[in-house]
Amino acid sequence: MSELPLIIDDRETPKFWVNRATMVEPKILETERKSIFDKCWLYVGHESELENVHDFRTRRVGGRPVVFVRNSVNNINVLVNVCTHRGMILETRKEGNARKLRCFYHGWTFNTEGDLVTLPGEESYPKGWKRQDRCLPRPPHVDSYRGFWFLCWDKEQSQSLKEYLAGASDYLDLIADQSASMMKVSSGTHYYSMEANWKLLVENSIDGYHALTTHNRYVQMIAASGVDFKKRGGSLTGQAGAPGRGGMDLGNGHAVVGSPDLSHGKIPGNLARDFQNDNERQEYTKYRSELIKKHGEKWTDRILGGRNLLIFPNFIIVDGVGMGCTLRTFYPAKPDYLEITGWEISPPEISEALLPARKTGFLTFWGPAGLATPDDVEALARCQQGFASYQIDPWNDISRGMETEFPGGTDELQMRTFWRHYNELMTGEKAIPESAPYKMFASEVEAS
Amino acid sequence: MNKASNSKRPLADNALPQSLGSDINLRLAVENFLYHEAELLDTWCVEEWLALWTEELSYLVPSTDKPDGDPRKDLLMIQDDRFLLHQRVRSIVNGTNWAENPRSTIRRSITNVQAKVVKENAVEAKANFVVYRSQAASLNIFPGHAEYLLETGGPEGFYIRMKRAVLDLEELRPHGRVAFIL
Ligand code: FES
Ligand SMILES: [Fe+2]
Repeated sequence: MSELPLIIDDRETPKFWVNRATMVEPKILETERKSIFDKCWLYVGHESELENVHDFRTRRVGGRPVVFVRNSVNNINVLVNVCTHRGMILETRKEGNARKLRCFYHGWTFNTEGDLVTLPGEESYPKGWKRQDRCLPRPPHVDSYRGFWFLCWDKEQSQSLKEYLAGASDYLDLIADQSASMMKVSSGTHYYSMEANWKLLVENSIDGYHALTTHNRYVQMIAASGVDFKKRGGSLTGQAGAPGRGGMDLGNGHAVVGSPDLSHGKIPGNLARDFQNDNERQEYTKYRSELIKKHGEKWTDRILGGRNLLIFPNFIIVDGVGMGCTLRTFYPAKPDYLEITGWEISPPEISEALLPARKTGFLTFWGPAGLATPDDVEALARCQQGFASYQIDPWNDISRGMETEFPGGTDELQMRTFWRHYNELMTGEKAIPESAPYKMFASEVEAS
Repeated sequence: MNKASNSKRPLADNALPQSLGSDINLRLAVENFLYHEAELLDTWCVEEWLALWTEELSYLVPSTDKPDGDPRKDLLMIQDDRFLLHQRVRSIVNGTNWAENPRSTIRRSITNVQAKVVKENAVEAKANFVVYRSQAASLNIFPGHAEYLLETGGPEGFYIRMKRAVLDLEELRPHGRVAFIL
C-alpha cells in the first residue's frame, strides 16, 4: 500500500489533496469494503418499486445479493437472496411477483418472510435439525426514511438510520414532499458501468465545476432551446454560495450542492429547457401553489430548487425538479470498474402537461445515452487512465473554495466533505469539518 | 419454373406470383434503405442521416430491462424529438460528444428485415442489428433489433418517422454508454 497519506487536509495554505493511490490500489479497495461498505447504511430501494404484496426486486447491496420484497401482510423485507442449503442464488429475475422463493437445486422453498417452508425429504434430516434454523438471513439492520430503504451489514452499527442521515434527511424530505402521496420510481432502469474508480463518480455527481466544460453539448442544447444560460440561477452556473445555497456539509460524510428556487416558480428546475407552452407554465404554477398550501412558500422554494445530494458512501440523488430526478447507486467490482444503477423518481400526481418536459429533461441529461452522462462516463475513464502515473504525481487537487465562507456550486467543499469522512473511516483519524454544520444554515433559511 | 428464372437476367416482377412479388419488392426496397442508413451511420455521415427523417419524428432507445417501455410513463434511454435528435447530431459533428471524440470505429450488420404496408405511404419495418464498436483496445458489441415506421418518398425511397432501437442486452455493462447512434 502507498506510504503516503490518503488525503492532505492543510488548513494553513490552505489546500486539499487526495492521493490517487486510493483510485488504483487493490488493497485500498479491500479496506474500503471492510471499513466503508460493511459499516455504513447503504441504499437498497424505494418503497414504490414494490407496489403489490409479493412484489420483489433483486439487487446487490454492498456487493451482496438481496431480495427487496413486500411480504403477504404488506411489510417490506430485505432478505439475503441466497439459499441456506448450499448457497445457490435464489431468485435471478430482476423483478417480479412471487409468493415463494424456490431454489431449483434441491427444491428448498422460502416464503417472503424468509422462512424455509418446504423441502423435499425433510424426514431424512436428524431429529435435532430444525427448519426454523435455516431461514434466509437478513442484514443486521434494515430501515426506511420517507420511502427510501437502507440496510447496514454491520451488527455493531450504533447509529439509527435517522441519526446516520444527519442533515441529509432534510434533503430526502425535500424530495419526498414533492408528492402529496408517495414519490414513484418509474419502470425502466439504467444499468450501466464505468471504467473508473467508484469515488470518481461520487465526486463527479456533486461537482458543479465540470458542468460547463464536460457538458458543453448539454449547455449548447439548453441555449438552442431558447434559454439564456447566464440569466439562469442555480447551483451549476458558478453562482456564489450563501447560507443554505451552494455546497454544504450535511454531516457523516453526506453533502449537497444545490439551491432553493431563486426564481420563485418562474423556471422549471435549474437547468431545464424552458416551459414549452402556456399550458405547461399554468400546470407548474398550479402544482407549486398546491405545494405552498401544504408546506409554505419557503419550503416550497427549497423543494423546487435543485440539488445534487450525496448520501455517504454511494447513494446519489440528482434532482432537477422540473427536469426530473434521478436516484443512483453503485458499487466497485474492481478499483477501475464500477457498476451503476440509475432510476427515475417523480410525483405520481404530476400533470400530463408537465410529463414530456420531465421525461425529456431527465433523458437529455441523465442515463447512459443522454446528452450528458456519457460524457461523465468518458471523463472518468480518462481520469482512471491518467492514474497510471500516480506514483509520479500522486495528488488530485480539490481545494476550490477553501477560503470562502459559503462555497458555491462550482467550489469543492462537498467533495472535501466526502473525503474527510472517507479518511476517518479508513484510518481512524478524526475528520475536522471545514464549515459550520448544516443545521445552522437550515434555520437561517427558515428564518429569512 | 419457367426459363426466365434460370437465366442471368434479374428477376422480373411477373416471374413470381403477384402477392409474393410485391412483398419481396417491398422488402428489397426497405433493405436497400436500411443498408443506406447503416452506411451513413457507420461512416459518421450523421448530418446526411438526419435528412432521412420526416419533420415530426421520434428516435427511441428503451432501457435494457424494459424493452417495451412506453415513452409517456416509463424510463427509456433515449426519446428524442426533432430538436433533440438535431442536438445529438450536432454534438457528434462539433466534437463535444467526448465519448466519440476521437470517433470510435463502428460497423453494423442488418439482417432479418421484414416490412409491411400499414396504410397508404406508410410502411412498418423490423430488422435485427449488431453494432461492433471499437476504440483503443476495447471492443463492445451492441446486438439488438429495430422497429421503424417509414413513409414513402424522397431520394432514398423512404423517410423515417419513428425508429425504436431495442438492445438485446440485460445491462449496458461493460459498455457503459451509447454515445454513437444505434
Ligand atoms: S442449494 Fe438450494 S436447495 Fe440445495
Ligand atoms: Fe457530469
